[in-house]
Amino acid sequence: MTNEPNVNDVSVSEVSGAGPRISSIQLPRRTVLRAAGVAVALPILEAMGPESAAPRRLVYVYVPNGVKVDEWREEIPVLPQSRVEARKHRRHGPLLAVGDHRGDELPALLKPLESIRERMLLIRGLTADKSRANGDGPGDHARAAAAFLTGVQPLKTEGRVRLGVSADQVAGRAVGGATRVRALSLGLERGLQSGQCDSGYACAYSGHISWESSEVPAAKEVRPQAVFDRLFRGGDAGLSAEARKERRLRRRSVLDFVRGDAKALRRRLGAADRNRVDEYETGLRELERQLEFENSAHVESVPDSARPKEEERTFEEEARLMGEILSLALEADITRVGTLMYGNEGSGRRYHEIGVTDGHHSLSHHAGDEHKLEAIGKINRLHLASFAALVQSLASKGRPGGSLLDETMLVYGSGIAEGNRHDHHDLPVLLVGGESTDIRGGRTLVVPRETPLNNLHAALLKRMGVTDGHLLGDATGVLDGLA
Amino acid sequence: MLPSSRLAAVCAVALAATSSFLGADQGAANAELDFAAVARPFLDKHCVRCHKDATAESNFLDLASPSSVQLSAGDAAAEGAPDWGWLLDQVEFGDMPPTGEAAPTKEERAAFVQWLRSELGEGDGGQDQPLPARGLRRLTAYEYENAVLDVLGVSIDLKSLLPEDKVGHSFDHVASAQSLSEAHFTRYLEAAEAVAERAIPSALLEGAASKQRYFAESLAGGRGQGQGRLLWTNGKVETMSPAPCGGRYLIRAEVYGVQAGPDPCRAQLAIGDAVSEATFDVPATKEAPQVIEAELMAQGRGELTAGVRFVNDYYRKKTKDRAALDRNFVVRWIEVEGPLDGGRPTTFMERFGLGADSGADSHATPESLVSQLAELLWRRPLASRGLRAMDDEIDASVMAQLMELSSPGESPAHRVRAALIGMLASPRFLFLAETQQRGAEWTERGSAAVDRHTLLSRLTSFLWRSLPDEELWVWMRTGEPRTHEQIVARLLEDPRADRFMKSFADQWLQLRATESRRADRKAFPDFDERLRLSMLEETRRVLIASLRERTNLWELIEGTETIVNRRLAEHYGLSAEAFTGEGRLPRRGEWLRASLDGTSRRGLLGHGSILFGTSEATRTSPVSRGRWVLDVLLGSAPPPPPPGADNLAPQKKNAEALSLRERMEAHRADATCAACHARMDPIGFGLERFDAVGRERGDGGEHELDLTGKLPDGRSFDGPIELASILGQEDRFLEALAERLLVFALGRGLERADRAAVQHVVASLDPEHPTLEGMIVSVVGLEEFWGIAPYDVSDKRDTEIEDDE
Repeated sequence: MTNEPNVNDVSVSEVSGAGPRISSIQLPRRTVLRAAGVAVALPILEAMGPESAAPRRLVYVYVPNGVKVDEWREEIPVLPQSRVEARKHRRHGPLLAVGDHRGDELPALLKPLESIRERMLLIRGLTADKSRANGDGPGDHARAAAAFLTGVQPLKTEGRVRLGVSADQVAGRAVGGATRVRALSLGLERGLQSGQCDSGYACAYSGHISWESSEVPAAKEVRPQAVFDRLFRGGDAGLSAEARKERRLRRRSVLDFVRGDAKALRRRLGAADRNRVDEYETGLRELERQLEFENSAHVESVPDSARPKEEERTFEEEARLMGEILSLALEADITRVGTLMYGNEGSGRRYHEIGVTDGHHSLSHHAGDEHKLEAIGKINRLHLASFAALVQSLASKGRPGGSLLDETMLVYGSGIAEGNRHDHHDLPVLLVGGESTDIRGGRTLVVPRETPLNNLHAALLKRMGVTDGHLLGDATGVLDGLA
Repeated sequence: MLPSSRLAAVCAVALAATSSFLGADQGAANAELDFAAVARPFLDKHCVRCHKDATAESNFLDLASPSSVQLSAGDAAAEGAPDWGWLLDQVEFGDMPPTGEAAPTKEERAAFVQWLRSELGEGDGGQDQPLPARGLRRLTAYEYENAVLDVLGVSIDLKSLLPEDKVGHSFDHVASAQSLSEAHFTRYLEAAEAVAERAIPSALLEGAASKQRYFAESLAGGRGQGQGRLLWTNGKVETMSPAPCGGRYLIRAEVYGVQAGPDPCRAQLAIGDAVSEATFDVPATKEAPQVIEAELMAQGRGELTAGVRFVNDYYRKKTKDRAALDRNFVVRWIEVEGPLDGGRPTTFMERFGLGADSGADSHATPESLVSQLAELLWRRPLASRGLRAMDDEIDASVMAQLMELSSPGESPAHRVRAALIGMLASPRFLFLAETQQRGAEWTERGSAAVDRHTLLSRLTSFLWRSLPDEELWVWMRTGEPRTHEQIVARLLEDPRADRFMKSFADQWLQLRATESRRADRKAFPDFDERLRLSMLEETRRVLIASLRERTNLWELIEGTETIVNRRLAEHYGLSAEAFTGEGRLPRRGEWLRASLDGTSRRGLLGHGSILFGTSEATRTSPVSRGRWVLDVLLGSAPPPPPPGADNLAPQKKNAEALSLRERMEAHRADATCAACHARMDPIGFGLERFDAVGRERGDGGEHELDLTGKLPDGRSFDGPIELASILGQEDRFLEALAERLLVFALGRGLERADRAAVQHVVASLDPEHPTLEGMIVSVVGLEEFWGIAPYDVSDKRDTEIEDDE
C-alpha cells in the first residue's frame, strides 16, 4: 500500500489506522476513513517563517464512569417537542435550545475552574453513538473508552481487538513529525489484570483511549518515574553524554541487525501472524525516527528535582505528577499531543484519601442513593481540581509573548454521561482553549442532539492542521461554533 | 470462556460447510424436520413469550422465526439471530428460561440440551473439526524475566521497562490479546541493554571503581521521613539500584536513631548476602546524625543491593505512669564505593566461561559463545556448516551478523555483550515462532506435530513460564526419545513449576484484583498490607501443595485443611490445636498446615484472599461472591446488569429499614434481574458467615445471620459448609477448571471446536481422585497442544471475521 513512511509525510493507510499490515479486502469498513486521498497538512515547523501561526498543542483528559450530571450542567431552556419527536428521542434526552448560553454562576462541580472560566467552553449535546450497544449487548464501559477518540464501534471480542485510529494519534501523525514523541499517552491506572474486563470485551478497550491503529492501542505510561526518565533523561538518568553517543551508535547497528532478522522471520509465517511482525517493524521504524532526536533525549532544562520519587501516592499527587510531566513535555516540545486517563473506564478505584471507600464504579451505579451521589460528587471534584492544576501548570510556563496555555487546547470529558444509566448522549465534555487556538470560552455551547463527538475532534484536528478530520470515525462534519 | 457471539457464528459457518461436505442435502432436510419436532415446541413453550423478535424489548433475540440451527446461524449478520452455542449454555445451566416463567421440567430441559448439543456437533463428534490456530505469541514480561534468569543467570526486575501485558480470555499471555505499540520496541531495546549490563557489567569491563551516594528518594524500605527513611520495626533500608557485580565494596551510611529504652539503636551494613560482622551502636539523634562504614565482600549472586539493617527495635506500650517507648531508626543516605578489587565475574560470565579465572571453557572463542547463546535464547539449532538453514534452524549468516555488532578488535566480553543485545532484541527471542516437524503427516484435523524444539518451548512456557535451559536440552538429547509424560514429570519435579501454579492461580482465581485494594481503615483497623499479602500467599501455597502432593481437586471445594502463617492463624481465630502436626501456632515467618475442623471454612471459599477480593471496602458483597463462584469455580459468569437496570433500591425514607437481604430480594422481583441474581445471591448469602476481610462472624450481634440460600434448581443450604458440599457435587467445576487450564496452556481463547478437548481432559481424570497433574498430563497429550494449525486455516478465519459487518 505504501512505501516506508516518511517522517513528514502521512499516508492514508497510516492515518486510517489499518496501516499496510492488512490487505484492503480485509479492512473493516467502519475503521477506514471514508474517502480516498486524505491529504494531511505538513507539520507546522518553526522554520515556516515569522507569519506562520505558533504551534498548537492538543490534550485530552479522560475520566471514567461519567459524572454527577446535575452539578456539571448549566441550566438550559428546554424547547417543546411533538409527541412523535419525544417518543423518537425518548432515550436521547430533552430538546435543548441550540446555541450559546451563560448562567450567572458555574455549575457546582466546575468551581475549581472558576479562574479560567473565560477560557472554558462547556459543550452540551455531543453523543458517542459507537459507545452504545448497537446490537452488541452489555459492555458500555469498554465501548465508552474505546469510542471516545475513535468514533468506531469496537469489535466485541476477548482476544484480538479491532477498533480504529484515535483523534490524538491523527493529530500526532500530522504535527508530531517535528517532535521526538508524536503523541504521548499517559494514565494513572495500569490495565486491568484480572478476569473479564467488561462483558466479553478485551481489557485493551477500557484501558485505552489512544489507538495507533485499528489493532494497536498506544502504549500507556503509568509510572511517573519511568516516563520521566524516558522523556527527559534518554531512558537512563545516570548516563553521561559520551555514553549516550556511544549507545546511539550501538543502537543503530542493533536496529540494522534485527530489521533483517524480522524479515527472515516474516517469510516463515502465515498472513495472520505476519501482522504481529509488522507491529514489531513499525516499532522499529519509530525508534529509528526517534534516534534522530537523540540530541534532545536528555532535556537539560528539566531539572533533576522534577524527577518523581517512587512512593505510594494519592490520586491528587499522581494526577499532579503526570500533569506536570505532560506539561513539561509540551514545554520542551518533546511532543505536541497528549492523552491522560485519570482512570480506566469502569475503574473501581477507592479514593480512601477523601473518605470515599467504596469503588468508583460501584458508586456510579447509585440508583439515586444520596450518599453514593455525594461520594461521586467528591470524586468528580477531585478530578476537576487536578485538571485545573494541569491548566494552571500550562499557564505558568512562559512562551514568547504569553504562556504555553495560549497555544494549547484541552478537552476534559467522559464517554459516559450518567454512570447509573450508562448513557452516551449529551456527554460531559469541556474544552479549554488558549488565546491563539481560535476558541471562545466563557459559555455553554449547545449543539443539536445526537451530534457525533467526533465532530468536535474534527474541529480540533482542523486547528492542528488536519483538514479532513471529518472523515474520522463516525464524524458527520466539523463542529461549528467553537470560535 | 465461551467465544463471543460473532466468533461462534463463524464456527457455525464452518460447521455448516462440514456437514454439506459430508454429503447430502438430505442431512439438511432432516435437520429441519428435527428442529420442527424437538426444538420448535420447546422454544414456543418456554422462550418465545419474551424473545419474540430482534427488538430491544426481546433482548435482541429472535427465537420465533428460526427453523433450523444451521440456517439461522449461517446468516450471522441477521439481527437477532440466535447464537446456538450460547443458548445451549443458558439452557443447560438453568439460567434460561428463568424460574417463574413457564419453566421446563428437568426432563424437558435435558432432552433439549442433548438434542442441541448433538446438533452443534458436540456429542461424541467434534473431534473432526479443524484445529484452531494459536497465533504468534510473544514472551510476556514475566516469561522474559524468567528466561534471562534461567538461561543467562541474570536476575533483573524488568517490569518498568517491558510493555504491560494485556489480558485476554482471563490470562495475560493470550496471543490474540497481545499487540505491540510503536513505543514498545524502544522498551525491548532498553530491556536488552539492561540485561546485557547485568550479565557483563561495564564497570567490570573497564575495571573502574565508582562511588555513588543514594539519598532517600533512591532508597527502598521503611517509610519516608523528612530527608531519610524511617524503620519503625526491625528491617532494612536499601538502595534500589544494585551494584554491578560481586567484589569488595566500601559501604557508608548516614544514620540516626529515635532513641528509646535501655540501649542505643543498633544496625548492620550489608551488600547482597554479605553482612557486616560488627553491629554498630548508633547513639546519634536527628540533630547530629552519624556515619557508619564497613568494607564488605559481595558474592556475585543475587541482587547486590546495599543496605542498612535495624536490629534492635524496642517498644513498650503506654502505661498509667509513663508514655509509650518506641525506638526507631532513620537512614539519610547510603554510599557504595567499588568494586575495589576490580570486581568478580557475574554468574553469567562464570557460566559461559568469560570470567578471568574460569577454567575449562576459557578457550571458547566469542564466536562459539555467541552460537551457544543463540541456540539457547532462540530455541533453535544452528544449521549445519555449509548447508542452507531449514525452517527450524538458525542460518550461519545470522551468526556472522551478530558478530558484526562489535569489531574484532574488542575483547571477547565486549563482543559477547554486543551480540547479546542483538539476540535479546531480535524477534526470534521475543516471539514464540513455531515450526512443524520435518516430514510430519497431516492429521485428520488438518494439523501437524510441531518439532521437538517448539514442543519443548511450549512445555516450558506452560509449566516453567520460561524457556528451556541448557540442562534440559541436554537431557532431551540424551537417552531414549522422551515421551510427553516423561517431560511433564521432569518439568513438574523442578521448583520452577511453582511459577506455573502461581501465575495460573493468580489469574484463574482473579487474585490480581486485590493488588491495589485496601479495606476501610475505620471499619477494619487490623487490616494492613501484610495481611493482604499473607492471604495471597496462603492461596498460592495451598495450590502449590495441591499440585505437588497430587491432592484430590475436590479438596479445593470441600477441603478442611489450609496452610497459614501466624498472622492468618490469628486472623482466622485458629488455636494451637488446629495445628495437628506441631501442636502450636506458627512462629514468625513460618507457614504451617492447619485443620479447619470446627470452623466454617471449606476449600478455597474459606480463603481470606477470595473473601476479601470479592468485598467492598466497608462491607461484604454477596453478589460479587456469588458471581465469583459462578464465574471462577463453575465457569459460567453471568452478564453484567443491562444498562439502565437499577441497582439495589435505595433505603426509602419513612419506610422501615430493610436488611440487605430484603432489599436484594426486592431487587430480584424484577424479572430482568431475577435470571442472574437468582443464581448469584443465594451463594453469596451462604458466605455471609465471613466479613469483608474474611473473618468468621459469630452468631448474634446486630443482625441475626441468615445463611440460608436456595438455588434456582431447588437445592437449598444453610451456611458455607453446606454450600461447599453442594458445590462439591457440581461436575461443572472440573470442566470449568479444564477450560481455564486449556486456555492457559494453549495461549488462546477456546472455540466451540475445543469442547471435545475439554471433555476429553475431564474424562481422562481418575474419577475417584482427580488431580491437577492428571489434568496437565492430559492437556499436553492433546492435539491442540502438540499440533500446529496450517496457516491457510487461520487466514481464512480472519477473513470471515472481517466480513462480518
